[in-house]
Amino acid sequence: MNILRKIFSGIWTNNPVLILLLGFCPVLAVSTTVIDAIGMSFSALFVLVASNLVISLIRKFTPNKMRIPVFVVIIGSFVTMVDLITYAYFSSLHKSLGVFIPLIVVNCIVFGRAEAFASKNGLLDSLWDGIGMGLGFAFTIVVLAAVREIIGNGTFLGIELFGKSYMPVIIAILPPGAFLTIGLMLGGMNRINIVLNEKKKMKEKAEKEKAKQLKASVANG
Amino acid sequence: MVKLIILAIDSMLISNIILMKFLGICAYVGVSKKQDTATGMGFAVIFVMVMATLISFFIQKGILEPLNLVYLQTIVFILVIAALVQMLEVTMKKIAPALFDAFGIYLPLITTNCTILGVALLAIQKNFDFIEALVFAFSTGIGYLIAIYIFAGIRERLEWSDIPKPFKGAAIGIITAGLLSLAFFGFNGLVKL
Amino acid sequence: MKENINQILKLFIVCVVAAAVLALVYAITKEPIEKSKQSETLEAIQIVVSGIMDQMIIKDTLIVMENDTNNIQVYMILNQDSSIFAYSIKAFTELGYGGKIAIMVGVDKEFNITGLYPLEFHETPGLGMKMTKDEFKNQFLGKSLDNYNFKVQKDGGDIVAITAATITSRAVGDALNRGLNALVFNFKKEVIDTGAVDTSKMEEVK
Repeated sequence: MNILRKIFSGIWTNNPVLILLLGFCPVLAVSTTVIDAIGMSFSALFVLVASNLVISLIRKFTPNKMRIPVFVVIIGSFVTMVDLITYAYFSSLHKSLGVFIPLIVVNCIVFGRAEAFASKNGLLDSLWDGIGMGLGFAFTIVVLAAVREIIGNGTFLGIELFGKSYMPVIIAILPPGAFLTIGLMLGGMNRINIVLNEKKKMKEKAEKEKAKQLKASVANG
Repeated sequence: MVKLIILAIDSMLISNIILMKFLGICAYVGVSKKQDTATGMGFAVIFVMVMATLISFFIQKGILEPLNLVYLQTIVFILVIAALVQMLEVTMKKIAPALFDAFGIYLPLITTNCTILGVALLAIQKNFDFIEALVFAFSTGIGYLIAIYIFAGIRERLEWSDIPKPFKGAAIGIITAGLLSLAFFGFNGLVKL
Repeated sequence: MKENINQILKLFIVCVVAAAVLALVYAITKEPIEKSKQSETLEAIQIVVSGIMDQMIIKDTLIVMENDTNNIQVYMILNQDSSIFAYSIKAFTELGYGGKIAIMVGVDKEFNITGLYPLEFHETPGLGMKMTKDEFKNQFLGKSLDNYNFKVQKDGGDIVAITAATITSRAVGDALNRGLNALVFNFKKEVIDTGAVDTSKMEEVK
């Protein structure tokens, strides 16, 4: 499958969070600052790609009835690795992400892709699927974090943007703000897709008309 | 005793697992379309949550810690949860087949429901003792039920409302959750932690 | 039946491999993790005690209060000749808006505050949380029980409270007051504010 298409699909047309509606929990919880969102994205991306690869690798070996426990153990192992490594070498990130690192193991995106794709497709396809979905997740969480941090804290990556006089819209960094912002993002994305779809339909209609006319003129002339 | 009551109120309302801690949203958005399924899901969650937390608690204190295997915590806990849900499915099929059918895919979905694993992990992280873990798990489950029940009620009415096309379905659902979260924010300061 | 055993066997193999890999990663990361765990307190102390140097020894001691849960943890920072260089108190209060507030307070040997580092707090974001910002914290620098009243101005004291967060400000004052009193009593044998701590029940635990 065309790699670029895979990546574009992961980020936009098949965005795991905004289109497939999976993996909301970490997106909402770890999006108060952009730096945390980036950290989370790396962790999730690593687990996603690593699990996809291994699950795809052993897909012929994996017993069908026992596949769920097998997936769980594999995904869980990579998650534990991320947990241990961040605790050891990136302790402030580990503290910010907290319980959401081990929760990657029940992240519907990771599990969903393992079940829906990696267990049925080859190594390279699974690799790019993991990367595409991971980037889609990253895109969503970082954009959400950017909105929340800029509006709710007046900073971006910790850098003050507006000076001391800025009155932050606190609700943006509080839980309700997370819901509202991503709800608006969802609505926004749907709207864009609806408009794009209508344009596509009109284009197709126009082409059909053209083809019809061509046929008619060929039949006549 | 008072400490336990405070813990209960906190887990149920102030730090509501869905609306404040952001756990369990996938199932939230999916199951909460009708109040009866929501209630059913809520009760199933309470049951699994309490059992899972207690079993994981014992495994942590009895096996993982003494044998220095704490790093296997994530995997062991999630396997326990998966097994529990499997058993619940089998028992429910035999005892209450109608309820089992009503659940459809939601029951196995509880396994990947971040709330269960999240609560089991948090109980350990917060260094609760056995009774505190029990109260924590139970009240969190009740909080989940409350949130999902209210939400389902609102969504049933939304079905009849005229919602702009881009927001139909999940988008308006999440915005509603946001407003609910805002409402629950009023519980802040109700009890001192 | 045979098929089932075969499947379980495969699952078992996967588990064993996973466990082995994890044991390896655990062994590698064990030490760095231990270091991370200890570093938060150490970092806090290094932030709040001005002029601290690597050769200094940090000794922790516990000042026992009426009941076990109110023990105040004090870190003595000693010079190489065991003379006191400074102290670091893990001050706390239960009077915060959201409950317990714990602050690491650096105190020089004349019992003046040299720094504050909030450790634990559940205050309201945007309001009480401003207690972590310099605008609020800096007013305490250089202050001691001799020259400062650790109550909010509303209560007749010297603390400039955070706007719309009087409760939090008051709580911080309480934490600092009690912490400093316990420290001074223990190390100076002189009581400043008898209302803050029940001195009759205090004992030194070195």
